[in-house]
Amino acid sequence: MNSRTRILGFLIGISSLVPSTGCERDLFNANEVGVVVVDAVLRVDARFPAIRVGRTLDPTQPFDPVAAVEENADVRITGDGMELFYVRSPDQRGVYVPGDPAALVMPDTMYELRVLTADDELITARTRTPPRVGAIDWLVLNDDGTEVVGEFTHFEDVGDQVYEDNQVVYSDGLLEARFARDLSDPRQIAYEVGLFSLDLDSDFVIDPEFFDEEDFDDLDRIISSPMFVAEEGEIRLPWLAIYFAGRYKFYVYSVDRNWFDLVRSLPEAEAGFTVGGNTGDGFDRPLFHVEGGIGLFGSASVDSIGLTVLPRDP
Amino acid sequence: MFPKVRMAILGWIACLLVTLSSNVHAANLAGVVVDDEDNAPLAFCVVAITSTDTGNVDQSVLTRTDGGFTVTDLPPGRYELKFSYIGYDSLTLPIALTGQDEPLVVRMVVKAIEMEEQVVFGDRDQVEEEVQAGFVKLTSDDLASIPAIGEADPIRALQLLPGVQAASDISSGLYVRGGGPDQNLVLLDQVPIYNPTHAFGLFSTFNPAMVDQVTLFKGAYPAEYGGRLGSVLDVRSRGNTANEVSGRVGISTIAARAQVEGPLAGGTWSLGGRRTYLDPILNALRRNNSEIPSYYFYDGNAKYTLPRGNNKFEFWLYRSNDVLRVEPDPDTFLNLTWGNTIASSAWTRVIGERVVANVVGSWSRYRSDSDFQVLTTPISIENELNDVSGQASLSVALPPHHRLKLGVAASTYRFEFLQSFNRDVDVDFDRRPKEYSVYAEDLWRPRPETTLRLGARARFLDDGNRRLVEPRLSLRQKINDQWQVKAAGGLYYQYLQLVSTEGFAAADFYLPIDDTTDPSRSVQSVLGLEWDAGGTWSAAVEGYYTDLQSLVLFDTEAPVDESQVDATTIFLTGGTGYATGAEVFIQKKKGRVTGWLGYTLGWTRRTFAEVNEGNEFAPKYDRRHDFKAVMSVSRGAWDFGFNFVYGTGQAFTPASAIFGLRDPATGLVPEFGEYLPAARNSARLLPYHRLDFSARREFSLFGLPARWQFQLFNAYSNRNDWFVQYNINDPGQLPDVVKQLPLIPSLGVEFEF
Repeated sequence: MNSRTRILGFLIGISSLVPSTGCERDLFNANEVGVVVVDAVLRVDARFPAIRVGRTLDPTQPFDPVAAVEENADVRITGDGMELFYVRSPDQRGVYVPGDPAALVMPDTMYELRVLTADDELITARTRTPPRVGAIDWLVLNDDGTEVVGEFTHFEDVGDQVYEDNQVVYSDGLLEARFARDLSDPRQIAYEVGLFSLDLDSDFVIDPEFFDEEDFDDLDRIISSPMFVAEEGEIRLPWLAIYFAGRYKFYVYSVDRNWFDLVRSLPEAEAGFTVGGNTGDGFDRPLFHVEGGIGLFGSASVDSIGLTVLPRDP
Repeated sequence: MFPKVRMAILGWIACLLVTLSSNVHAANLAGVVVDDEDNAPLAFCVVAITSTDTGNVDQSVLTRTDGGFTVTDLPPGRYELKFSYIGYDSLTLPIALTGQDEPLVVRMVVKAIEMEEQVVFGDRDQVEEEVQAGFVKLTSDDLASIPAIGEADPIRALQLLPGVQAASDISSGLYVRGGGPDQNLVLLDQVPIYNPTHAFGLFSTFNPAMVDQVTLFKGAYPAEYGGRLGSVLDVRSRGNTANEVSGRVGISTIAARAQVEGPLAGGTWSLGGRRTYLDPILNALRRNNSEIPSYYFYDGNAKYTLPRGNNKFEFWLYRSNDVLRVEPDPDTFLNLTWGNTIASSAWTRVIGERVVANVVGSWSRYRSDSDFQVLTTPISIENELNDVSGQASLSVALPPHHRLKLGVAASTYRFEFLQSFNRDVDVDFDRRPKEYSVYAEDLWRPRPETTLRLGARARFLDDGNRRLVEPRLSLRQKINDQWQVKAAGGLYYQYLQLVSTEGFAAADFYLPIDDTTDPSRSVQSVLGLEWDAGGTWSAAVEGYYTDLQSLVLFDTEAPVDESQVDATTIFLTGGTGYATGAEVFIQKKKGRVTGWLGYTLGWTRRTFAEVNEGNEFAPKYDRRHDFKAVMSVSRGAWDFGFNFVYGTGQAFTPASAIFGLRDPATGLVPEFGEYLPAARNSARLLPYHRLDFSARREFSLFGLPARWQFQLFNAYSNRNDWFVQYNINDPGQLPDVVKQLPLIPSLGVEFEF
């Protein structure tokens, strides 16, 4: 056998393997369609919230919020020596509202959610509400973060006057929330920040040269942060989360274990490159802490601040 | 004490006594080994003396730095002397010792470089002397003949062997027998190199012009090495054997490289360097588009060797660096640099005829700096590992059947990791652990057909005051002239943990396991059957099983500002797993057509309480079937190379449903719902297959020997699946299947002077 024959044999041999590789991959394994989804978040010192009950849908089809609702479920929350029955919302399908609208969520209390569907599926979940978040000092630091150059006023003190009092120029200084943090207290688990732009027609404060027109369209006025443990009782709020001028309301949530685990384990927005892993590893199942279904039964204590963001001088 | 153990020890002592008592009526043998061409003495040449009367290997000694050797106390009789030296043809001389013998002058001939010969494991003698199962050696010639992307690359060449995989086309990580890159010890001239990648993993940091040989222990490696659960990659840089200045220069579509060597002050020196030259092109493009990055990498090696009597002194310097800068906007930019620096020296001394001592001192540093700014918010990550180590070893020949190797090592590490976000220091990690090791191993040839290596390594880690003992075993049993059985096993602990990111190797960092959790542990076992029909054809079948305990997995779900850094906050701990499989390797080593076929059948599994709801899962690189074919054909001045790789598709996590859940912080309901991931890695991508081709031709450039090379990576441009990206912001769209590299042609020229 000469070299030419061997090369030919090599190429024919390997090419015979190639057709056997032409199968399809299954991007979906739709074996969890119809699982009950509960969605309930308690806020300390607030009234018991509406609870959504739904079901998972076929992943190969576009999401249909109407098709996802679960009606005729028996929903109740027990805890703190009381049992709160929920009723179907007259306005929204798949939403259940508390039978006693005046009932308040207490801090540091264990609550259990119990959902019994019309098909006798029982879904349960438990949350221990965090203690009250306490007083938060909202500060403006210098650009190096070494010196406090301003302090925000609070809703409790001046009401909506905060938007007049607390005015900052975009990217001028650093924004920081400071609060009492006890790392030894197992009830103080982690913190999340929610940002709400209140002036829905306000202008952009950013103008990066590399943004296209459609990039601006994708920017959100309502944003949530990742999880912080804030070991020293400090959360520094980055300017990169603010795109628009105008009034903002910031919420700081001291969250329970269920909320913390779910948010930190949700698949990343770009579930491709994951630091410390192989590509695709970011698409992993979240931690739900729900028996008999998926979803969230979480709780948090909360404080908020209002401020106005002014654009930089051109 | 158990009777069997006692008997074994008594037997061992009896062997030594027999050896000592046999030194009567002895003859002495002396000689010198030189290069046949220039009469240069050859230091550290192996001289094996076999009695042709008994068939036993009586002694094995190394030549001194002046090439001389002396063997004493041999009984008169007929012997066979076998001389082995890397880069030279082995030589066998029959002699008869009478007690009145003249010194020998042994002239060894440089091994002819047969272009049609593609040697993977080295020559047959070396294979026979090597007791280790799963051991692979590639020479610089092997590397040059294997098609690659632009540059010959040791790590990419190893990925073509059975049992070794790549995670992707752009990954220089080695996935050996079910272990990840974090489980490989990578050494450059005996010193650990902590990030052996350039260009985010597309290339390794080893300049092919400076690489002399690459050896890989796929598993169950000997006691001489330690610190990793899986395998050892040992890269040795090129030494100089010439008496005049010579070198080689190469240019490819990626980079230019050079290597020069020559004599100096009684010793020899070698310098090598490589640099990419994409940056002028990128700079020109960036004038019109600020999003074009600026990027380059370089690496440089220097080596000096000074023989003095029975001593040899060696000095090495190595540095590599990658630099990336992107500045699409004054408020948004990225500066990224990473690289390794190594300085080391070694002293080798031949003591008498039977002892070789070696002392190495080294400093190895890996550093990466990431300096971002995103819309005015600065983010900085600085990561540095310094390893200052000393090691000493003693090889002692104990005729007729034993060779002992004893060693000690001490390392002091400094891990620094500083992460700040928005000028707020989130993580400031600074730890300085120390590690001390001792090891001993005995290579024992109780009979000519049996070789046994018993060893153990003991380690002390001051971080947690841990004392670890790791026994090792290798065994070779020849069945006949063509067949032999190999077995190996051992216990291994891993203390340093690499956090590696596929496709973004610049983000690699190391962290030590502290006293909050146990070091990872593996128990490896390998059993193989080898066949060699006279040096042209060979075949091997090896089975392996590795049990893994106390594994850790980087916790990607930890809060972003977690600063109280210990092993339990960085890693998911307490993982278990196993890797098992079988490899078949058929090789043709001589002739105009050479190459190999490799097939691996494998299973790899991991279990972590916090992953996949505590259920066992296959890591992404678990591959059931893995087939490789490598062929090299020589026709006159032409050399052609072909690689073909086929493997089961990698594991990935599919979506099992879609659901709606409000963001608890904002109350917003995702308009398109969210995908619910199914069990981790419960589906498979399409099978991977790829053909590479190279053509190389020798020619003369201004009277200098030169060659050009044309290469096609992925010759039929099969866009293999890389990973699936589920667009969770818009699940109404089909997920994206991100593809790997298409056809990449490259051209290179190299000449020697």
